[in-house]
Amino acid sequence: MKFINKCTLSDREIFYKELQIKYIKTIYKSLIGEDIDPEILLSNLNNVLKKISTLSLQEINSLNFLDYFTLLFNICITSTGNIIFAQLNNEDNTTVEINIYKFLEVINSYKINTLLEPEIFNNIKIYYTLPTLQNIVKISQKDRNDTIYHYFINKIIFQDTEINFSFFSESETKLILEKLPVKITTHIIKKINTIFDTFNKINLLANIPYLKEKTIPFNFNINNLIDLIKILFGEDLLTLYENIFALCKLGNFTPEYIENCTPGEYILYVKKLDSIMNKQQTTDTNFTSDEGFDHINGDLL
Amino acid sequence: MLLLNNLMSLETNNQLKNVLTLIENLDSSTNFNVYIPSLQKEFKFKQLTTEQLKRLLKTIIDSPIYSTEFILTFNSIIRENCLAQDLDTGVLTVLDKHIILFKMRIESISPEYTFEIDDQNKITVSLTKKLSELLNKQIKFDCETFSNDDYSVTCNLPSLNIENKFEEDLHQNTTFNINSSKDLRDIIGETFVNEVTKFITTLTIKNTPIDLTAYDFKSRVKIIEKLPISLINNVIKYIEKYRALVQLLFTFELTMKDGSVLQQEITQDSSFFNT
Repeated sequence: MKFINKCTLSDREIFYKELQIKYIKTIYKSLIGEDIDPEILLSNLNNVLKKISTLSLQEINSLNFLDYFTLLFNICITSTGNIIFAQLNNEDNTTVEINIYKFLEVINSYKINTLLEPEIFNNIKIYYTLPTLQNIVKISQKDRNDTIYHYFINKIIFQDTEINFSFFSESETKLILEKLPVKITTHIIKKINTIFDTFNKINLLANIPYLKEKTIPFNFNINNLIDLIKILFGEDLLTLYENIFALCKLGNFTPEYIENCTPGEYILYVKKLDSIMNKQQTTDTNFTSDEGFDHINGDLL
Repeated sequence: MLLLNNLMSLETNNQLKNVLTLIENLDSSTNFNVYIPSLQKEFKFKQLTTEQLKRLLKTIIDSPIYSTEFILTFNSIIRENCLAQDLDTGVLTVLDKHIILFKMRIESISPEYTFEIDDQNKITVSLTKKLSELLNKQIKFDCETFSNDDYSVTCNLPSLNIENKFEEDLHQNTTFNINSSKDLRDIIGETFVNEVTKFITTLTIKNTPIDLTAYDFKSRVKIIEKLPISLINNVIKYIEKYRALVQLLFTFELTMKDGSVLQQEITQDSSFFNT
């Protein structure tokens, strides 16, 4: 039985369990290589979220990206703790310590809920939303001239009629919005530009004084968001396999047991085994290991 | 009026049609009146929709000499956005069209227009003021008949139906191959005769009236080309009088930062609607 926790999203509360090593393995596999396919990553990540949360796959797919990352931040904090260790760029191999609560602090300071408050323009009440991650993938692929404003509209109410776009397909939403008077669309586009500008200003490291020279953007660029997922969960699949092998070979764990461990349990076992092996190494000077154990240290996740 | 009085949620795909109809009738707050000179009366129109603006902006890729695509697109938008059910917009004149175009820009995009002369001179003018100035002149443009020996021609402002037919018959799908100054002269000459033809509705030869509207434009051009030049000159003066009136609406006197005054005309094409 894994520990269950609660996460507050913009419109509801949901429950989720801690991650397990088998899910971390899936996430790492999706993050392999230079050119990560966002659709494959999201598909795998969403399947993991479905398994550990009370959300259905459809609900996960329709989470706006802020809610999605709020959930990821919470899962990360519950599963591995609020402190993560990350390498922020390729040139500099130093690992820095980051408190995930500082990310949430920065995001909250931008008062996104106020930014997205409904507006009345020309007697039409417009409800805004943030795009889903799938839609951010589409936004990232579009030309500058393509229309994207439909990703930011949740519903409109005019006179006594409510049109909720979550019940319409993307092309239907576009069709409906194109029938609106230009003045209204122009107003919506201006508002969306403000939303874009606000998110482009966000640097998740802004509240960490010793990292203020570095940047972790949190905007509508899918590559930036993939980098953030890497920072949150790590991506070293090889070390993970080596550690599982060492724990099974030297610690007498079964692979199934390790795969069902939480990341916290896994780190504890790795550290423990590391410390035991270090002690043995100092008493037995002839001890040598060629079984991947040299790679193990305690800061794997 | 299709708007519903009770709160209702339109939440299923098969209601798309209903939603589109509802939005098309979302008129009370965005409608506007336009004074139509030919009918001496105001009529209600809807603002441009985003889809219509996109259609207009696409006409930027138009013929380099004629504005056929823009003319046909805007004329169809007039038909779509006119809320007077008993009005056939095809009978409106080209002068009416310019007034609608101007008012549509004011209501749908902005009542102001900015001329960007250079980095120093970006001058914003009021389109509303300009339109009021013109309409205060109580403009009315009647048909006129000119006679010469055995011929007489009646000129009138072309209706939108005639303009559409003219553009479709003569200009649409026309490609240009201008390789020399002779080619250019030929095209200008052709354009000139075409324009004259558009304004002549009836021709009388030795007391026998010929209703030119019964002919297609290619035939009408051939007939007009045979008329005496003195008669054509009168038609040209009629056209110039109309053009001067339109110019009054679209031309602005701009005072530059150095105090000099510059006359600038707004181009009547899709760029007028470019936000």
